[in-house]
Amino acid sequence: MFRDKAPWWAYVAILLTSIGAVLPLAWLFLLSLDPNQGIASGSGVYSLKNYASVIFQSMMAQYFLNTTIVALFTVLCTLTCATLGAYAASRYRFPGRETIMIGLLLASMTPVIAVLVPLYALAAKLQLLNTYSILVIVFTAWQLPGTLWLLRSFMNSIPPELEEAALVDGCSRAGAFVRIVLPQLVPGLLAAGLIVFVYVWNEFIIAVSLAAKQDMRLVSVGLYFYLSDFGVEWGKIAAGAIVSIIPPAILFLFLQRQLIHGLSAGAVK
Amino acid sequence: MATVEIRAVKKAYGATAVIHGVDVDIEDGEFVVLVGPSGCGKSTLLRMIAGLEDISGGEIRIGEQVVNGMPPKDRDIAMVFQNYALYPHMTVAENMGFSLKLRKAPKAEIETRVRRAAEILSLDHLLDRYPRQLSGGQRQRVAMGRAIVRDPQVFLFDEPLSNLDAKLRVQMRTEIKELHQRLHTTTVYVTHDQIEAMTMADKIVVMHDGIVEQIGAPLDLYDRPANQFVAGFIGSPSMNFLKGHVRLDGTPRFETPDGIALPLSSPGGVEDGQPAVYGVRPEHMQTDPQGVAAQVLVTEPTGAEILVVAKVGEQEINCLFRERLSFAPGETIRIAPQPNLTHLFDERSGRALA
Ligand SMILES: Nc1ncnc2c1ncn2[C@@H]1O[C@H](COP(=O)(O)OP(=O)(O)OP(=O)(O)O)[C@@H](O)[C@H]1O
Ligand SMILES: [Mg+2]
Repeated sequence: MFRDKAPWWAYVAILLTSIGAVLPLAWLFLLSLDPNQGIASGSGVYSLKNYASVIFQSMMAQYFLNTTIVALFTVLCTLTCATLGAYAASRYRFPGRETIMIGLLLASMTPVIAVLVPLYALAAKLQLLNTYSILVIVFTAWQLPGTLWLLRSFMNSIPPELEEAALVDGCSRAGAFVRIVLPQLVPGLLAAGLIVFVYVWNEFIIAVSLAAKQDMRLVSVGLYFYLSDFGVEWGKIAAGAIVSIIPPAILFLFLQRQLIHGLSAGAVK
Repeated sequence: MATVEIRAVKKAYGATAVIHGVDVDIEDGEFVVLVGPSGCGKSTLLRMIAGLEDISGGEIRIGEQVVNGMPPKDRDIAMVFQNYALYPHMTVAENMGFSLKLRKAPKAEIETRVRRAAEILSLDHLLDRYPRQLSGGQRQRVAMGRAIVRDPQVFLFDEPLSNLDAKLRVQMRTEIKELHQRLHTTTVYVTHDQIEAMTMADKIVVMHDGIVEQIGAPLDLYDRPANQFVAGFIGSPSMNFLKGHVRLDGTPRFETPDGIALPLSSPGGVEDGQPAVYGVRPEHMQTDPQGVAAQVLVTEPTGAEILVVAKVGEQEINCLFRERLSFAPGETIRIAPQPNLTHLFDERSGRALA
């Protein structure tokens, strides 16, 4: 951005970072193609046997379905609540507004481990263990503060005059929100939605604590149980891991432009 | 088209009062300019007319109807904002047709009206563009187009030209005035630029710190300012103010602390020895062999005229001469106000003295 050609050390840095990021993945990939056991077998034989057994002879498909359902509902709930909250926090003045926002941020910094036991007890009491609902509720609560902050900063960058112009043009307050504010918010919603989706996809601790029953597992939990289910069949675990990366990777590929735009739009301007 | 009546209107944000009881009568088809320094409450008043701010006290009527509790959408007004507030996700045509679409006007009618407004503003070739693909001046036009498509009761403008460069501003000023002469829609126009106010208005409302200082036709305000604030605000360069006393012994005159005597226009209603402020516009000063001595500090020729900053006793005075005069700094010249074009203000209240 500052000059036409980056200095040599920038390339070196990027190269090292890339190798650091790609090497484990590459190793994982090779491992997943090895039909024999053992991490260091290096048999030189490659096949898709591991993939076949992960996809067709395990519960992986069910885990994918579970994760997708939970992720989509979490995204939906989080975005709905966060959008409405962000609108209120951005457009209305009310006593304690900033205190509430800071409080939310602090609350979101609590380590998961600290609330795990009470969460489990609560879920058990409500008879919600091993359901989609409890995962959606807890994930939504967990993601709400960050999403609220992201969307509020996004909302703050939308000039209030746009809504005022719509009010004068004949909209009600709600009409102006739907017709004018929401369309401006789309990049922010996409970015926030993607972040939440990927969070759910990667989440493990909450998921394993609240929904560990075999048919209710999320992908991450399923992979973890492979360690015991298959013995230590590294090839299959590797294949499962590779497969589980695919959906978020595809989402990223499709949405990366919106994501970058969405994340930076609130900051600049 | 409609009249607008503003009666004892007040506005407070919590405990801070920002508008302290304002009365303005706007006639049908009139072009009224609200003018005043930054922070005086012009935008707030305009936004109360639009319904974008609550009215803390008093009453606003649009065409006989009290609108205090009425939401903006029912007031039948159109507003042009300083930053234009064009909807970024709509094309120019969609922006202009938005209000008609909300009122469920038939598609064909929307199209004809948008097209007609676009023609008036020479926007025909831009109808399919998005706001981000337009220049500042074009955006300004679209914002006006969005307002005139509606054919509303009242147009409200909040500093619509302040984001344009100087040349474009003058051009758009003329265009808005022409537009008003063509449509005769009641218009309330906010600006802090007194030249805009003078050139565009049928009637100017001068505001200051949340009150109305004076209401009148542009030249009325120029010729007969009600107080020192209006006198200093209207006119450019602004009026000279000299401190001193009224002297009624012998020829009525104004005397500065240095003992320099200046002629008074109409010395009624004042007492001998009364402290006062003497006002005279730079363009009403002339060279005069019988005048008072003044020492030239700076000269600023612009071609058409020359501004001379000079010292009369200890006080500075600006003079604007239309003749080609050349003075050197330090030179002593003799100057005098043109007869009957001077003003006198109360020293404490700033009120104009008869
Ligand atoms: N939301 C608010 N809360 C408190 N005070 C406010 C609020 N909005 C405006 N004010 C105050 O009201 C006064 C009038 O503001 P207003 O925007 O009407 O000024 P203005 O005459 O339009 O000035 P400018 O030429 O700078 O636009 C200002 O002193 C401002 O600080
Ligand atoms: Mg303003």
